[in-house]
Amino acid sequence: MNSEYTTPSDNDNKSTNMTPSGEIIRLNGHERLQHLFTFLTFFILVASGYALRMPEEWILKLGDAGKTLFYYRGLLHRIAGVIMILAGLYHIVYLAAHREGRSFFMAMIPNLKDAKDIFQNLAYYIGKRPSPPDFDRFDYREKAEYLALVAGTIIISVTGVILWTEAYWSKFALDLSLLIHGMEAILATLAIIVWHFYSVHYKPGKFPMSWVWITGKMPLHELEEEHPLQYKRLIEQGLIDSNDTHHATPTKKGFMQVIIEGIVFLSFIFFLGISALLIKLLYFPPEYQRQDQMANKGSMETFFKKSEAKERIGYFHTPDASVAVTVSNPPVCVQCHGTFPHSKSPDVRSFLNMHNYFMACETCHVHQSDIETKMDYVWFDNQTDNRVDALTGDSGVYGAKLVPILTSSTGKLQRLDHSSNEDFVREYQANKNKLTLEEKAKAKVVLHKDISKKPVQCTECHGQKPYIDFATVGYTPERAQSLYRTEVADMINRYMKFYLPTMFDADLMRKKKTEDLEKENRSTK
Amino acid sequence: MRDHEVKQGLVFIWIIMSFTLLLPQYLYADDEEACLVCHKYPGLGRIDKDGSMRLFYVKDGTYKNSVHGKVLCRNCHLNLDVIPHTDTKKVDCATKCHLKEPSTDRDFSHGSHYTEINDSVHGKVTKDGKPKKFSEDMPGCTACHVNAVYRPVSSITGQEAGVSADALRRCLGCHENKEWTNRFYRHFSHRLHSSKTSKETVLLCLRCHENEKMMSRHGLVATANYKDTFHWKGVLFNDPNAPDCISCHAPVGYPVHGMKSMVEPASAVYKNNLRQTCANISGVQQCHPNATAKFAEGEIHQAGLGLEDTIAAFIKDKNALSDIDVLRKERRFRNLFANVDVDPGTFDKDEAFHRKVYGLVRYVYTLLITVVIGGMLLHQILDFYRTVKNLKKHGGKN
Repeated sequence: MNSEYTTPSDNDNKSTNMTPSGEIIRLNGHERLQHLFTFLTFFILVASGYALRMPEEWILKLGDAGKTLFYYRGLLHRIAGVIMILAGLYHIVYLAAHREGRSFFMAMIPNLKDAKDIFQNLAYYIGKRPSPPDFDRFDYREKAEYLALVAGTIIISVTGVILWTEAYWSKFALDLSLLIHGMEAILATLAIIVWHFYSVHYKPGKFPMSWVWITGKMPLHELEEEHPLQYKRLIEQGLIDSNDTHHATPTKKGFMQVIIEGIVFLSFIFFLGISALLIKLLYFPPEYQRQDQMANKGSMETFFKKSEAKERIGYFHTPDASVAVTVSNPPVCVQCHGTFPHSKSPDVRSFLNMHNYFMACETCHVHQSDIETKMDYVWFDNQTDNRVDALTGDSGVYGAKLVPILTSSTGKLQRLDHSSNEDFVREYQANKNKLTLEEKAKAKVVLHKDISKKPVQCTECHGQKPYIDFATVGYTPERAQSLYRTEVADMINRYMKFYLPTMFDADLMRKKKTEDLEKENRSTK
Repeated sequence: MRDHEVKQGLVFIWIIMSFTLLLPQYLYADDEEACLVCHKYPGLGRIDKDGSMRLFYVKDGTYKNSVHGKVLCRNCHLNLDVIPHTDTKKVDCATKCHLKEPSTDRDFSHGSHYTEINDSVHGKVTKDGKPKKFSEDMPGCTACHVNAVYRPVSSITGQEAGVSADALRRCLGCHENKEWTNRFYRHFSHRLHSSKTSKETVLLCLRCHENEKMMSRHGLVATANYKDTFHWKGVLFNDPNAPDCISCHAPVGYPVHGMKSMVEPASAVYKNNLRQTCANISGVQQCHPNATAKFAEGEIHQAGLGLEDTIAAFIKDKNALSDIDVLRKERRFRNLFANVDVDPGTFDKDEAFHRKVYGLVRYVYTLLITVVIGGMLLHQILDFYRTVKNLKKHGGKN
């Protein structure tokens, strides 16, 4: 047993194995270098590899940076992969050629005692044994981790090389390699977090970290505790002196110590998140939403959901983002009527909807003649709801809506597009499926109590005696003038047939036009 | 009183002036047909009876910078005689528009594409001119094309966006009309690259091709796992040379409009052409120049097996692969009537074996990870419990 210590190396190493301050060299320079290579390449490989498996929304947010990331990700992954393989070869050569390498290898070989240790240690954990079993230089946890590392490195290197030389393999071999490469990566990353990071970072007593990977040294008291067999043997061989074993006394935390502890604690939360992502990837791989599964969403909804105007295929005249007007505090009207509410009057519905883009419903649907108090018209910003005095933009894209307001005798302003009725509307919305037709009709009367029977007609504003003084409202005098005479009037000369004056007289039009259109089966009524 | 009259008179004169001076200039220079008087408003639109959105907004600057920027509205939208436009004809891209095609000096038209597309897998008619079954599923021009805005490039090799001032200077040496020359430069350099990004192309094709119902009507399999491929990752990350659908199904040397079915020898993805297609030697990006025949023959993006399917296949053995998937069954049923020689939905013996092995490996690995990591976690939790307990007992050293 433990024949590695009978090799002359131990005697020769007396000076290197021991340090005057009661420590032992646990990892020599080669081993620390190999750990450093493995550690660095592992992180680069994990980061550059899982960059491909990021949730799609994250990748989309990258925009053009994604291009650069994609390029360097692949390059880095390959470079780090090569270095990892080289570090593995370095380790093999070290194991074979170096005396300490051979001793390291011999000490790593699992034996029957390890199997016994597992059960005894578990028994100790659950309180069936007073103390843990005596471990040797490498306990079963370290051996298992080392062997998993060796196996994992081989598996992931082979599949990685296959994927790199894809042109020479069949699709089946590549698919299988990709699967194994990804699965092994999940296994390795989770194992590092759960197994390795716990035992060298998060374990009470180790926190914030075991310094062996940097200094290579382990204090004798720690050796005595964690690897008692090796400790006893070294004492028997006279390589260390038990008098040097003194337990550490708690020292006052320095500033650096606090910083490091903070970082390690944050890393715990970070790796918890990473583990969650990996577990999601393993058991719930992303299933992208298919077109036919999205079918029952309204076409308008899908239209506005599409972020890039260019994706709005089917809209030949590539509309820009201005089409989707967003209002931070929308009026309750849109809950039932939508943002394109006019559909009944076939000839003017699009024109009316166009007004809806930059006007509150009440601008036309509350008529001055139905209200005792004088109404004023004010622009309100779509986002901030602040009053807009200087109008910017054109073609209705002002970022603001024209809203009628009332000023009470006390000087308080009331926006008519946010009526006192809103709570009733919400209640109605929530319960409307339970209501009978009669109840619904009654509720609707209440809902629309402030709405005029007859809305403001086109010619009332666009005529010589304007209903709204456009210049006062904020349009330039030139624009106001053009609104009074209506630009549309210019078109009369250009078209052979033009539905004026019926076009702007809703009553006449409804009578005459809807009859015609119903005959042609074009009415949407 | 007098002031008021003077004011009115001035307004009257101003209106006359604007009609005689301003308007004609405005109308005939930029918006000759005055369509934008109404159509410049983004809110101009409505919801149709069937709930679909009809948008009548045309952005002036965008249109002028588009490939059709010089074509008048009425050249495509025929019969625009009435407002509201109730008697317009649906736009037909085969219409001869009143631009002269310089190489023939004849009226230009996209009509030739109609012949090409009707001859392709996407055509609405069969070879003998009869309409195909479910021909309404077949794409028309606007199913794929929008009125693209010019995206000129300033260099051919780098494909950097913009206008090369140096090249434009050389053109202007002879072609002195700056506006025309600039437009011609854009017209030409716009075609040096695809006007759609790879992502746009993929999403465009998937609009139909991932629709299971629509595909099965035509005896096809919906593209189920293209988004699992590395090709899609490149597309997703905006890699400029990432392969989209066109890159393989209509690479250089194959027509896009005349795209053929994969079972026809004229298709880029016909089994004998695959190696060449993967290599893409004549493309901007030489994708897999060393592609072997073995590499090229696999299925790129056919329905994969989920974990549940895999477990089911593993437990049920033999016929499970074909039986578990109800949709696949339906497809076979339909194919009995569709008269299709090869059902792409069923796998040959090798493919079925590959899929089974793949599913098995996936299953075993998932199980392995679950057991190993789960065991480790349990071990560490116990270790934590014991360590904390000991620390408390010994008053906490360190």
